[in-house]
Amino acid sequence: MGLRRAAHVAWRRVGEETVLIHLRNKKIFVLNPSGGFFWHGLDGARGTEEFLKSLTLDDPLPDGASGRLEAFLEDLREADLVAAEGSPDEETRSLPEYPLQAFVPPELVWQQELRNFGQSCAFIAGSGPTCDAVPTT
Amino acid sequence: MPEPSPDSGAATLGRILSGFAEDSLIDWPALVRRALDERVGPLLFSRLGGDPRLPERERSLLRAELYRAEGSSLILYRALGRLLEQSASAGLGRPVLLKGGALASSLYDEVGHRPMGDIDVLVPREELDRWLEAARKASFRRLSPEMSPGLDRAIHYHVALSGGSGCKESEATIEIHYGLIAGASDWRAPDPRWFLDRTEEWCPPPVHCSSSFKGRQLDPTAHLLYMSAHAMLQHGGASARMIWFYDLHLLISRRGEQIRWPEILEQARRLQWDAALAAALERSRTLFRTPLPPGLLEEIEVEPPDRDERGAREVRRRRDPGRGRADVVWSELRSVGIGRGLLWALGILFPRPEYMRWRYPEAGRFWPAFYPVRWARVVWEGSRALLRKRPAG
Repeated sequence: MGLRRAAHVAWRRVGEETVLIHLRNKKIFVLNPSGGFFWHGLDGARGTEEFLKSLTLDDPLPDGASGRLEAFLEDLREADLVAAEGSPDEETRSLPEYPLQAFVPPELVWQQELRNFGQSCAFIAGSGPTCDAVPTT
Repeated sequence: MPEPSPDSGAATLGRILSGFAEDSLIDWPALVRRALDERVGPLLFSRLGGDPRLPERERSLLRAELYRAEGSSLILYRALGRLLEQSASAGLGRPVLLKGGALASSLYDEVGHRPMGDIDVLVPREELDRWLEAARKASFRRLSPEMSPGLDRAIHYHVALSGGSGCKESEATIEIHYGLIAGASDWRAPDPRWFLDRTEEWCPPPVHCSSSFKGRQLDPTAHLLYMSAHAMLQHGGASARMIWFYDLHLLISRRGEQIRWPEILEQARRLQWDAALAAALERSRTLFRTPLPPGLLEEIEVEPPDRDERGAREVRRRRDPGRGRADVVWSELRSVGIGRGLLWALGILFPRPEYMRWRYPEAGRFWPAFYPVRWARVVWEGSRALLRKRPAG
């Protein structure tokens, strides 16, 4: 059984990136387009190899693709964004509508804690640690 | 009553946001800080994200603000979904979303371009108790205790609720409005029924992990009028954020053909909101070159013989950037009339214990000691306000 998206995560596609929010620790994560593609495909049914085999790419898979995908999934697991338990998600077994034409390593490109929720930096007068913090990538 | 010209920072920001080339030498850190203060950081990122002139640190700050806004909206819309599911099962009608909560998904290209700290919904006043009960069942609770019993309904016009996630860390704030701009006893407050009669369907943005839900939003005519009064009469020109004028700009630019201008003007005059409407539209036009109908501002400025100057005076007062807390409170107290103003003043001076414990959590069991602290602050700020020089007009 493969990994599935954790129930405590909400997400949206923003341009080509995918923004995830961990609803318990209020951390925001941003995935590159390839990461978003694989995120959308995490249905709990496919393992890494099965996932890669299901892709219809213009170019053959590069060497190390499986390792890169594994590393990405490990990042998601460490961030508590995915779960292994539960039955496969029937509704999302299909891959996302937008195509992945060539294998690009999926990556978590941005992560940051959403501090002072209910406030953007715009609500905080002057400089402060919240708004001046450089996000960890 | 012309609006003061925007300072150079605001003018530069306005030109960039409205798509006009900005070739002057730009102080990027100052511009980005201003954009964040004015809540237009994500919009600025959408305009300048690929501009090689933007320094990397500032690009990173704006990008972070976009992601924060996206993350916040995900939490807020999920919480709203829970409330609406609960309210639907209680047989309540769809509420009317106001301002950012409505516009982020219906007017902006991307939800995260319109940062918001909470979601505001308008419900019929007679349904307020049922809405609060539905909210309680959806695990919302009041954000702050009432200052004194009955004050909310006598003076205020909304109840701020927090929760809705079932998870304390990601609680969202939803304000349930049963009035607009001010409490029913305040001269600025309109009859909400006029607005509740002018609504249209609203659909949420695509938020995964949430069931589908629907609401309503004010139609462009009613929304334009409400947002103008919100900016200029509720908050005031001095504290109004640029994002509110960008809301107006986008509404007029994108849905201008659906705006019934004669109806707006008539209602604005009836509510004494015409000065606020003119000031808000003028600010929007100055900042973003908003395409207003020819002669509109001049038409608003034509004063009918029986004109009450109260609205114009209020807009002028709220434009003063030196207004302190005491000025704001005094202005609010006067707006509700002597009887209710006295009730409110007593609430401010002698709030009930629940409120004191919430307001001064650091006091612990010594919370009664904070009554004198509170009174001293009232005297101090009141004295400062009395001694402060006010601008002419």
